[in-house]
Amino acid sequence: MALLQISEPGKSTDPHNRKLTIGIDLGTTNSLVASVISGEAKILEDNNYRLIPSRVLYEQGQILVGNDIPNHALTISSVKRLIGKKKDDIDADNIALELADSNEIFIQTPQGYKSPIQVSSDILKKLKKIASDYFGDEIYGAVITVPAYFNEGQRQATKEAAKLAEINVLRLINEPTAAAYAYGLDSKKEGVFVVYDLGGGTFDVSVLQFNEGVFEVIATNGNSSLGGDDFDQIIKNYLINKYKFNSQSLKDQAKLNLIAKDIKEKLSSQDTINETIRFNNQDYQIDTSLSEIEELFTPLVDKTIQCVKNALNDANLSTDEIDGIIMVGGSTRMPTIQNHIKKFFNQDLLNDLNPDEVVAIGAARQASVLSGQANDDTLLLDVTPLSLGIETMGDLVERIIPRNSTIPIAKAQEFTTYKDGQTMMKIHVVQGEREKVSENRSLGEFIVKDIPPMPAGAAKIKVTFQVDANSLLTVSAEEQTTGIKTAIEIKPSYGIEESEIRKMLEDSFTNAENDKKFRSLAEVIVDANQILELTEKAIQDDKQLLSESEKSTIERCMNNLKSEITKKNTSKIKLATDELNNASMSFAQKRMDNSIYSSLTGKNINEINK
Amino acid sequence: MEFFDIYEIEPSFSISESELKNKYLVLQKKYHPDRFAHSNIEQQKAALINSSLINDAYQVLKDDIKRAKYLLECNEIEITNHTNPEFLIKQMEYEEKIEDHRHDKSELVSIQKELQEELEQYKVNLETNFNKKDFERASKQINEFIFIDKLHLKIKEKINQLD
Repeated sequence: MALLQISEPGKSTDPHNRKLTIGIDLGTTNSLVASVISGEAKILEDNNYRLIPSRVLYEQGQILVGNDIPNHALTISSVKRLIGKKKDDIDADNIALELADSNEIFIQTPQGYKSPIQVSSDILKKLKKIASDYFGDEIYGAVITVPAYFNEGQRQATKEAAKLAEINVLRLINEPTAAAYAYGLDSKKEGVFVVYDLGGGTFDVSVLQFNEGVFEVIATNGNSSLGGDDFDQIIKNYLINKYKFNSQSLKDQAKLNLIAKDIKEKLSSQDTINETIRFNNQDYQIDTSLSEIEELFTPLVDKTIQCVKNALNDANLSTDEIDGIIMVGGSTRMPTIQNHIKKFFNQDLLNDLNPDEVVAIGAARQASVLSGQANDDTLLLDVTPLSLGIETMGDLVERIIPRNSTIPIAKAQEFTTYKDGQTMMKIHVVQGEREKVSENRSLGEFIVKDIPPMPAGAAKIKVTFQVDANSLLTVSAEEQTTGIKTAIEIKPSYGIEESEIRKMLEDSFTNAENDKKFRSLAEVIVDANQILELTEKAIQDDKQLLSESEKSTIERCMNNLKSEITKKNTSKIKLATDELNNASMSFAQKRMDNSIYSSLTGKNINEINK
Repeated sequence: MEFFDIYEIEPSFSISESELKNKYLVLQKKYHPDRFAHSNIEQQKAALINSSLINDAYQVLKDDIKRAKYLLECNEIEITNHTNPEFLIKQMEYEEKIEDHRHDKSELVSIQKELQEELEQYKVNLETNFNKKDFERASKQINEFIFIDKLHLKIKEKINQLD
């Protein structure tokens, strides 16, 4: 008699009914893809490589990703540092990439300009292919990890990249949370843990409590533009200053980045370096030590420690209440980091896991749970990293959801009209911890229309913020007396879809008239200063043409524009420039008329009528 | 009293933190969107709303001040902004004391302890008044409680900065 076959709980025996899920760690330097196979989370290899460099090479006719790229080819790398950002947000000098001259970030490639979203989606496509080749089957869905300190725009852009790669995103989860999940499940430990996650381009710290299968994030902090790359930059500058490395071109910069990275990695296992480095047909003798370089690193390490302090403070915990420190990210291999963190917590660190792989392993486990196929009772409870609020009168932020709120979360607040008969209200959504609107990140604006005319303060507009389990925000507003609803979903690039971005990009290069949207901050400031100068001179020359009230209006607009210039917000400067233009229009007209008359003086009637 | 209903506990200022936490985890394990990631859209939406509500209620119930305010709100008691002159003087004395010793960590720590004891006392008084259903008196105390709590936070920040 044949034995009865009994399948694993929650697993289907029918291969056509199984839902293949993967976990993706989309890193700044390296990416990984993992999956739970027969109950075990495994890294899926790409021709025996476990790490897939997050590099893309665009050539005529083909796109190469990661390990497929021939050695020494100059590629697009560290694109995660650019995703969901504007040109104003980045330090273009530290990026060895040719960027388009536009407000949005576009990278020049032999296949034309590519947005960071497109580059990321090409990496994601490769990861998906590694998985589907491994299984010989379609992938049902993926959990993709993002830095905990990623803001709304960066998260939306990552999701957009996944959509372009045709990946069904089951969940975006935070990298330190994924790592803690993998570690907690393996070690079966309980208590309060700190995850210190220093990657290639991002830094996160999360404080979590593990309790009976629930992994609860208590507080998180970080810096989404601080990582191993910044340590490389320090070594690069050190080489340029001390050893007079001469780098002119972008290609030199990129080569020098690699040399710096190599030195950093060597100093993780040896105390001194004495070697000759050949660079641009010249030999450079390098004699340096770990202690010399470590001193240069101190400001960066201190920055991370400040984030750790902030997170502990928000969690209302002191260092001696922490049961373990989990080190994640390749950059935590640096002895400097290890020593400082050990000293700060006054305890040994948990290094018994692979800092490169643990995030992908956690993501794969979570993907398997979310597909409903794993028989699992564990739960991740995460938080919003940054406060969310809206602009109120006088450039001030009214906070609606404070940072470190457990998600999902919905909060509503009522607002009212400022003027009698007001029929519209602008809702400006911002993210960040500062008091002033202009110092936070603007996520988008929308307008509640058709408010019935009422005396000031009578209308009641209920604004609801809903943050879902992916930490993505939806804002809706409802006028209470009429029930009129307006809703927005915060999209990358302030509501611009990827396809629209592409169209805008094409337009901007072919249609000069259409490039207003791409005007950089610098240009707007130049225009603003020009009109300020002209107006100033005009008032000096022809103030007799102005009434007292006209003069004071123009001066008020000038002062407003001057203050907007210092705040560096492109659209606000434009607005203030337009206001000044409008206010001074009749003055300009009068001056023009006047100059015509004066140029006519001395000519006789006959000549004028000719 | 919706928030208390969700957690199936009697509306009261006195609350067992550990019991609340246990119920919170039980509820989230049941209603969190992760439990419905493979379900249909309607169920996913319901999970989002339920789980958000469970979180919101937990934030209110676990915090002494928010819970007290919520209880007053449910009993339709307005929180009076009136502060008695005695408390105003106390308020000023504390502010001055903190300012005078802003560089002296040990002095600040001892003020912090003092404030902590005050907070405990307020909590006991609030408990008594809520139990007696004397909402008027509770509403007067809550203002002072909020003030002392803010001061306590401020001094903690100052101590952290000196570290």
